[in-house]
Amino acid sequence: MTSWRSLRPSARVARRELRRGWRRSLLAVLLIALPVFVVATASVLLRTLEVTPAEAPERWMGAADAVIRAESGAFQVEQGIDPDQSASWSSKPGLKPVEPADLRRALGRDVPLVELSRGGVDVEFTDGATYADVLALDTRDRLTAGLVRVERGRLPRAAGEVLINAGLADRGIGLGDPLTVRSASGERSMVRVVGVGSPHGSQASRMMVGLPQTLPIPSGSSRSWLVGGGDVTWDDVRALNKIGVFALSRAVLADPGDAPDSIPGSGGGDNPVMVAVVGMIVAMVLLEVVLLAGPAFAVAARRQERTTALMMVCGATPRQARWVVLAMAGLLGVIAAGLGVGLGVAVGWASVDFAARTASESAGPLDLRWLELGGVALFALLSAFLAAAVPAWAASRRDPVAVLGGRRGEPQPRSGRPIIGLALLGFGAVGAIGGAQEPGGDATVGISAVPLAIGMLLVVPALLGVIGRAAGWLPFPLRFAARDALRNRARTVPAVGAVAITVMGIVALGVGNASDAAQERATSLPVMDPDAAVVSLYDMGGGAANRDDTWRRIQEAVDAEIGAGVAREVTTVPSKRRLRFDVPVRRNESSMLVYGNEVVVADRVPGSVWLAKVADREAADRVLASGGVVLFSASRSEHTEAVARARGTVQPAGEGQAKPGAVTLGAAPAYVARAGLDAPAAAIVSPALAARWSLPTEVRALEIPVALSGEREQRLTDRLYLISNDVSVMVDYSQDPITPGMVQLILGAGGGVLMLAGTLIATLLALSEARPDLATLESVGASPGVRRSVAASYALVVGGVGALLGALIGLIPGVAISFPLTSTTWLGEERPPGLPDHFLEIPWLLIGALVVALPLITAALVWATTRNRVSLATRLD
Amino acid sequence: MSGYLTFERVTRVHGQGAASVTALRAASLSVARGELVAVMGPSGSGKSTLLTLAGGLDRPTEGTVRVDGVDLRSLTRSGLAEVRRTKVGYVFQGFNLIPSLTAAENVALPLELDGLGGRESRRLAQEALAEVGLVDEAARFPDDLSGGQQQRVAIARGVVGDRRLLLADEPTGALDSQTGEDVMRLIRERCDAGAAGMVVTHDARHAAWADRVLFIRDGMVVDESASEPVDVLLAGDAR
Ligand SMILES: Nc1ncnc2c1ncn2[C@@H]1O[C@H](COP(=O)(O)OP(=O)(O)OP(=O)(O)O)[C@@H](O)[C@H]1O
Ligand SMILES: [Mg+2]
Repeated sequence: MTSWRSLRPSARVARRELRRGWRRSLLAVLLIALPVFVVATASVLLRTLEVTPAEAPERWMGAADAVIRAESGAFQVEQGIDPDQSASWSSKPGLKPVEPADLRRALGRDVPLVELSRGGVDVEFTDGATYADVLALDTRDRLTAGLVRVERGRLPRAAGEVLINAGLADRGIGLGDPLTVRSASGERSMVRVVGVGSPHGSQASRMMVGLPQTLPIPSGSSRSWLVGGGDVTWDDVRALNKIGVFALSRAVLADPGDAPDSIPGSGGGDNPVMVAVVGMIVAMVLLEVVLLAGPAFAVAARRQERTTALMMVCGATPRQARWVVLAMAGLLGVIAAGLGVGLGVAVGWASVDFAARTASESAGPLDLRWLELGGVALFALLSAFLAAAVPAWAASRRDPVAVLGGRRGEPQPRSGRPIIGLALLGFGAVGAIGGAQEPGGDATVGISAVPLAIGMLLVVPALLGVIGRAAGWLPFPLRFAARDALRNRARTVPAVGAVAITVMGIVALGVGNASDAAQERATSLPVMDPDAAVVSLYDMGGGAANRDDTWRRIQEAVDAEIGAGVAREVTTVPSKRRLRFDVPVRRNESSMLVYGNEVVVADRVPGSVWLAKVADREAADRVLASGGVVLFSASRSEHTEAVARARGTVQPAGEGQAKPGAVTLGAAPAYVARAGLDAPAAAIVSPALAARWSLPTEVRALEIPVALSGEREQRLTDRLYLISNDVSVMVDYSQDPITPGMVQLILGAGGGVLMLAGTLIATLLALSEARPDLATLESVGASPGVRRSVAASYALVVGGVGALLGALIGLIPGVAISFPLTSTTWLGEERPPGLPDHFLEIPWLLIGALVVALPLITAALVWATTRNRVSLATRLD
Repeated sequence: MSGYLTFERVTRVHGQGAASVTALRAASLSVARGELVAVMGPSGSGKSTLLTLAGGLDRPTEGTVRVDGVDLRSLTRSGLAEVRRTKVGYVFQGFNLIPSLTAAENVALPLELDGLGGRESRRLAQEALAEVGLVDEAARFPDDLSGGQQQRVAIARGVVGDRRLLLADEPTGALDSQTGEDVMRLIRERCDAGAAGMVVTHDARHAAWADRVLFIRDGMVVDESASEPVDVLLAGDAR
């Protein structure tokens, strides 16, 4: 066993050689540093934005010594230092609620207490009204100092004064303005704005802070207090726990002593599925980096082969020879780790303010988790060593005499381990199929991707062998490239593997995404035209006169905002009347949508109702015109022109007695339009049919057939809220701007870059090695273009074989994951008849682009950028 | 006098079956310390094979090679490496030096590979460089040295520390005749100082520095004699 000291010459040579070839070194450093940089930046940003009580206790408790919370009915409370992070308790309804006296008794001393109450009010301003969250507390008490961040003005000091947040200030409410607030119990009172700001950590879009007498809040199931009067010790916390109260203490935060961070059996632990998924992603990224950086080290080792041979002649052991390459990896890994983590910390730190502003949060002090950062740094080192392992081993196995004599002296590579590879592929496939069959088997499928990927890598050499042997009928450049790839498996395999892994991941994600999108298309179609808004008034149970008056004022407000005559009334059947149709359709009981569970009465489909095709609308309008009914179904229905029956508990025409129970109303021509699981309406009934069936009708909605800007929508909403808080304005935002097509595009582009990188590295490496062969070819009279065509062919072989293999294997987890991902069986009863129980869509365009287009593009790129002439005099290195 | 390097009926066959080449046939020889042996023969006759076997860079198919009494056959790859860094120095026709190491570091390489401390290695390397007249060039990199200087550095490395077997495969091949003579003189000096030397050369004038000339043809040691005039041997080569 040679001592570490005897490795010094290897390290010295590595260091000097890295400096000599710094451009090449940079490539490997960047490959490794990039993922490290991304993760380090994310760690710094996330950890800094996440402000913990220990970092800034005043945000949680102001100047108080503790903040405590009593949950009604809670007992057997166990908590860690921060009860929000880790706590367990039992609850029993009907326990006597905790009062301040109980708290003082538990603490054994008289402490000042300031109660914090949360609730909500309606706020009325000049031309509108809206709902706002409320924090009521005595901001005059010095215990509250620091709890509320004031941007302008000051904190409330007297009854009738409030501080508002930016969301309310945006409504044109300024300092000194009077406001009317309407409490949950309906009492109105006047308040005056004295400040703009918000409690730390508040996510509420509209928020108001005032003294308890200004903003009275009925005490709910949970009460909170700030506690003063000196340190609240861990023993105090335990005493409070005994009476069912949770406490966050400043003194315990500062010096936890034997207070536990978290208690067993409560939240705060990491989700094992998440851990598995993150672990898998890390493993895949590691594999990818290793495969991409591996060839770079192979070049470095190849360039050092003379040096290592000379060292071996001078008596270097194989270990010492290996260490020339491994020390390079170590150095590059350290540089990459330093660069990645350093840049990550710098960029994270520099962008904290920006990120805080975007997330409308205030950042805490710079929070560097050295354990996490050390972890990613270790990742860099590990990937460098793994990437260098094979080239280092190869370097130490080379015959020095042969190398110095100008021969290659490479040990013949074995043809890989196709048996083990195939076994792993089979194992992975079985896992994927198993995962496909269990509900929630996504994790199983995800994990089975690992043996699939490794198995795939292990069959690459054998695959190259088959292709190399079958290459006889190919044109010369392709044949040369295929044979060369076979002969130099040591460097071709990682490159093909890198491409294959990338494509595998993209195809798997692509199939999953496309299938998900297919299900999305089938089940959650939009219900509203994106360029329309619907104003509707909920049933408020008030008198009809009152209602008519409210409705008139709503119409006036809408006309004032949109322009007279633009909005159209929508008539519906009151929801007390339940209609059932015998066509199997999905009836949306829980819809949040305007007409979602109502029967609309109209002689044509309202413009705000979304329909998949123009033809749908035309057909539906025809049925309505002929006195029929339009229904919606998530599945393709054959009842396109079928007859529909309706039942309801109505008063049959002509009879004096109202009949509860089902009554068959009659039949009508029907059209079943395609919809998602959330239908735009229960049905649309023509006025003629409504009259024939004696259905009562009322006007309950206004559709506005224009796209509203966010600002106009808010103004209209506020105006209408002033009239009634039973009114709502609906705009459909469900049409996500990130369409599945875009996801596929992003996947394709990301994969393209990785593929290009892998293929280019492998091609350049192959070219630099094939240089003597190519020179020989030219000297025996091959046309000068041969170098270019060989280069392009090389890219085609590496890219094409990698992409094809990756796509084939990627289909396995992709198809498998589509089962648990798009299963509709969870819908149970609600599942519309005819809806397939799972969706599978293969994104052929994406796969085609990866397997056919990208290798061709890469080859063209290589062809265009390869120099054609190579001088025989060019030195070998 | 027992030799520092001995070959006993050493045969080396490359390849197998019909394609096999016998590079060396039942060669027996011995080189003692203080002695310089020249090896001559036509191209492909097995001269380099002889040297690589002597240096433990290759293993004989049959027979025994001993260096300082140690049977190389009994050694592992690491054992052979140890023999190379402690007993054997190698000089090739060119490119003997590692370009990223200075002359002194190149000379100190076998010592450092053996785990000797940096300061001690450097001292011994300086001594060896002084013996070949290159004290001032110690800190230079190989690219800044002339071909002759590079060969002298390689010779210094060949005998640094306690290394006593100097193997040189056409060390003068890439040099002009005057510089070649200087290199041969240096090798002669090192042998006079106690090393056992074996030099492959094509040049009769360089062979004249040797105590004996080994003549090889088709892998067989044809003659091992100091008495025959060199020009007779050369005539044999031309035949
Ligand atoms: N690794 C090898 N594989 C196959 N044959 C080899 C190998 N090394 C040497 N030979 C063959 O062994 C024979 C002796 O080669 P060697 O290199 O010892 O000759 P040489 O005398 O040094 O020639 P030169 O004067 O040209 O350097 C030659 O025929 C050569 O082709
Ligand atoms: Mg030779």
